[in-house]
Amino acid sequence: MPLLSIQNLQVKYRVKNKEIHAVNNISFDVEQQDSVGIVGESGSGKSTLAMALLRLLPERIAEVSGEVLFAGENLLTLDDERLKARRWTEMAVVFQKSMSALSPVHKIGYQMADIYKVHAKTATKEQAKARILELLEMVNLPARVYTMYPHELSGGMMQRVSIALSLMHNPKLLILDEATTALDVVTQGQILKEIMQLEERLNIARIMITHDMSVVATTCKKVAVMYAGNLLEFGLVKDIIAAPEHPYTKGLLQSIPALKGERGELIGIAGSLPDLSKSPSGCIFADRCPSRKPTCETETPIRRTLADGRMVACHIAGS
Amino acid sequence: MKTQEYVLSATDVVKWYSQRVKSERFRFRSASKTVKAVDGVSLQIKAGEIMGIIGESGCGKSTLGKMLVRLENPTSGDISVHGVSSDQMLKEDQLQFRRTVQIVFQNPFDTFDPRTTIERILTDTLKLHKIGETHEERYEIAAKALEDVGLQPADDYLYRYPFELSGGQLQRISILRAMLLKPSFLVADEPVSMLDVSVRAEIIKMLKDLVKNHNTALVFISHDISTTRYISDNVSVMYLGRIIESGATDDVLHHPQHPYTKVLLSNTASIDLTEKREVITIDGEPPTPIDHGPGCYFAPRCYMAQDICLKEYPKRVEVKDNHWAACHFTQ
Repeated sequence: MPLLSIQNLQVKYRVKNKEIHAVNNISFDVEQQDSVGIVGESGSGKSTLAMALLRLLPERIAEVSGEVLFAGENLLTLDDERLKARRWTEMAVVFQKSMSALSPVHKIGYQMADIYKVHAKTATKEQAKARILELLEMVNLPARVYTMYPHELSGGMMQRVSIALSLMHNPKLLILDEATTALDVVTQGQILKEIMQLEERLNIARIMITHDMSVVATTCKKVAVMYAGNLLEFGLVKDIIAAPEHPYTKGLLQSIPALKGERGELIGIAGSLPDLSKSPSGCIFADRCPSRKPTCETETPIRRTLADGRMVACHIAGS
Repeated sequence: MKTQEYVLSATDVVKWYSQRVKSERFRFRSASKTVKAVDGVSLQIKAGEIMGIIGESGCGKSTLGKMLVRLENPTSGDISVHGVSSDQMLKEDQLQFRRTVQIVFQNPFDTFDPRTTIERILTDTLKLHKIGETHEERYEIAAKALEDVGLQPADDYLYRYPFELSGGQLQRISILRAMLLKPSFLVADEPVSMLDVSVRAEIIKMLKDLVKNHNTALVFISHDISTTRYISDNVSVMYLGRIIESGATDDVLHHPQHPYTKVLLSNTASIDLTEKREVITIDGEPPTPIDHGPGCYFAPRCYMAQDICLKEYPKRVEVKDNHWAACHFTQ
């Protein structure tokens, strides 16, 4: 049984008098100790997907349907008490802006202890401190961070605090929502390496949301390519990067400048994201697609599984 | 005169900021410390040349960019355009100076007044610099510029407000606005880092074409090494306010000399899975540029540092024609 199984997940935002289909019919599985990278441009629904998984979207404006099975339980129908018990102990999330995730007027140690006590109610102060110092060491931070304020830390250190926080209660699933995007290359490299080591040691499955294909290529086993709320291609990184099937994935890979080799022309993808409040008659990518056929504009492509196990939603792929 | 070959030449440009900090000895007194944001940078750029400046955040690349167009005043050092000192040009005719040097900023959503249309944004620039007699004439110039870069039909864009356009379109207009005045020198400060990868390619291409067609010198500031590689002829690597390596793009990126450049390159993630990668890991993050000792600024983090590195700032060593690095161990 997969650790996390997403079945036909759909998220609609209700705004004024229209509905925006932010996530459209997405299904994929995350196995134990898997690492899945979700890539896509801004506005493609990556973050909405993560928020929907954790049920963090306000119910008033977002309508979530489908199934999210975490160890066999549907997270979307779980009652609040039980969901609360699952959060942080079984799945944790690290957001992009850790600067705004922490309170500026409390010391790091105090804030971390606060969270520790949520799930370990009987713990003493000493136990909390011991655990926090252990965590700080785990992410290569000096112990003095315990008595520091967030503004005294640099961006990389803050991000490490956030990662330490997320590991507080030994989660099985870690979701990183653009967690290293705001960092420098060198710091990003350091943190990604640390995360991968921790993962192996602590048996964690990871979902990594990013717009940077190269980060996924170096750190993930599987990749999910999203566009305008739809999952276009899903499979092993080594298959997809070596031979992308969906024209969008191809375009995305082509537009990444390379550090080595020929300095040829960069090819972008013309056009911009479609209006998400209207449901398209055919493939969602049709009007930007360089290799579209008449059927692409009239028929929605069905998800197919190709020979190497990858999933692709395109009429022309694999032929 | 030799300086006149260069469109822009900066000699030993320095920018220090003073920072008030709590005194360590007296509780109620404060002491002043200097943050050396840019600490002695010299640059020479020819007409039509594209110079990429790369470095991590906080290394002073943006401060340098702002100083080159004199939005910041250097603490010392001189910046001259076409051999004439920028101080003198600013004193004599500020508008003329602004017409020769222009800048494009990182965030296209912040660079425009949200309450003016694209038409006004473009024509006001022309009006200020007294280009075109009537509004109609200026409108024509703006429309033509838009159509030249593929924003067609121009009328469709001109009546819109900035919030109605996407980031990529706005950044294109931002570049256009800077190029409308046909400057001889342009600074682009992280022009694509806010945009999606799929749009970046077009912006980079447009910027490159415009600059090459007008024979404008460009300083392209970025933290993204691979993007810089695609656009620039020469590259300079900055660390803590100083340029530590400089040379032709392919020389620097394929045969890096300075250990910092090597670290930076080895940490750049790549999508090529077949490539064998040896990542050089270093500890810590760039320190704040306050009170660094007499030695090489990178020495405390450097993986090959020796005693001499902490005692003496290394001199520039020329490795190849036009390619130099400031490291004691450059061969």
